[in-house]
Amino acid sequence: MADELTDLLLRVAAQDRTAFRALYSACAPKLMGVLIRMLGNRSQAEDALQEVFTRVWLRAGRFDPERGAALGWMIAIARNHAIDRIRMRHDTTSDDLVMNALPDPAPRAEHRLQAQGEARRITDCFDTLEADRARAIRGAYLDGLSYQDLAQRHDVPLNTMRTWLRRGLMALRECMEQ
Amino acid sequence: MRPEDDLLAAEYVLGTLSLQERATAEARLREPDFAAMVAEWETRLSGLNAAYDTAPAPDLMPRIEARLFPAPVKASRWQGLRLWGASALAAVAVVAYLGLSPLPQLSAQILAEGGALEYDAALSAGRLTVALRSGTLPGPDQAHELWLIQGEAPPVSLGLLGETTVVTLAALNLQAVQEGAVLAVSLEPAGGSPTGQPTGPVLALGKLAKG
Repeated sequence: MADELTDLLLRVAAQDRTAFRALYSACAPKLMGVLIRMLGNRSQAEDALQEVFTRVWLRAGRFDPERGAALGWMIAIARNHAIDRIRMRHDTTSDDLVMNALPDPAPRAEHRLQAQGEARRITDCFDTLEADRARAIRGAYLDGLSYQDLAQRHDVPLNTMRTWLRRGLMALRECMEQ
Repeated sequence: MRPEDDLLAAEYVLGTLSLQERATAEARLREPDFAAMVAEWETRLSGLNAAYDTAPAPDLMPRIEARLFPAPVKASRWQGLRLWGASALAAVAVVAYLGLSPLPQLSAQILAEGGALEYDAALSAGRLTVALRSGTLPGPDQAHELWLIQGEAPPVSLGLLGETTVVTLAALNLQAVQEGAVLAVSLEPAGGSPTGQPTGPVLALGKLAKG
């Protein structure tokens, strides 16, 4: 699967439209899942998905298989686009955003079983963090929450949240480098 | 490794930064060291991607393809040229050039010095698709306007830019955009330049090249 996606993405970089369609079929559901979760509604997610695949086509030449997996590369494009959208509407609707944010899910058993490589390492390392910090980092990553959102959700001052999160990130890096 | 930079890279990937801070971080992606830190954090946190469920996605491919690869202009559209008095031979040549032969695709990276703003442009079959790659669109009272500069001719406005903008060159009576033409983005008042020529600072430039 991973090799197949890498192959498709490299063909897209060479302007192969058939590969582009196959890549869409293979990856759209995952990217749609990312976008719905982050943007909180389906019609915005559909708009964003169109934008994300436009960017995948335009930027495929910059994909470097040495530096990461094809799906991860596309998820990063989707996440970055979703975060930009969220931050852009944030100025006017910051309160709504916190209200609409999805509840923080516990990692599912099936995901733990499926976890491999980086995924297993990060799951294990999350277990070594203080529970609040681990939750804040997951919430930020999965739901696109800003420091302000996180501070409100956890009811702590913004600077405290930033310090927490930065310490958590450093602890995570140390743990994963072991 | 500078610890502050690594933290900024982590926060950028995590997505907790404000729009302005994100733009600052994105501009720094041109520094190889910083880009490497971002790539490391993307890999490090990618394990969390497993927590994203999949969702049924509608087939948006027709819309995406219509945007990226618009159909070549139909020959019949250009037959009207004969009525203008062009010779039949010339008209045939124009049809061959515009519609029937696959035009080489041209593209450009429209870049600001320092990388604070970048648009990617791709020209295919008479349509120019321009996508914002880094940086942000201006506030409500300003706009990014796209200009085409060919040779010594004055800049021609291609319109205002959004996150992704598709410009149909034929609609602007611009059929022959050549390799080497320059695309420029200027900062203008909302609604675009009032004079038809750039009035604000030129923010970013790029040259159209094959591929």
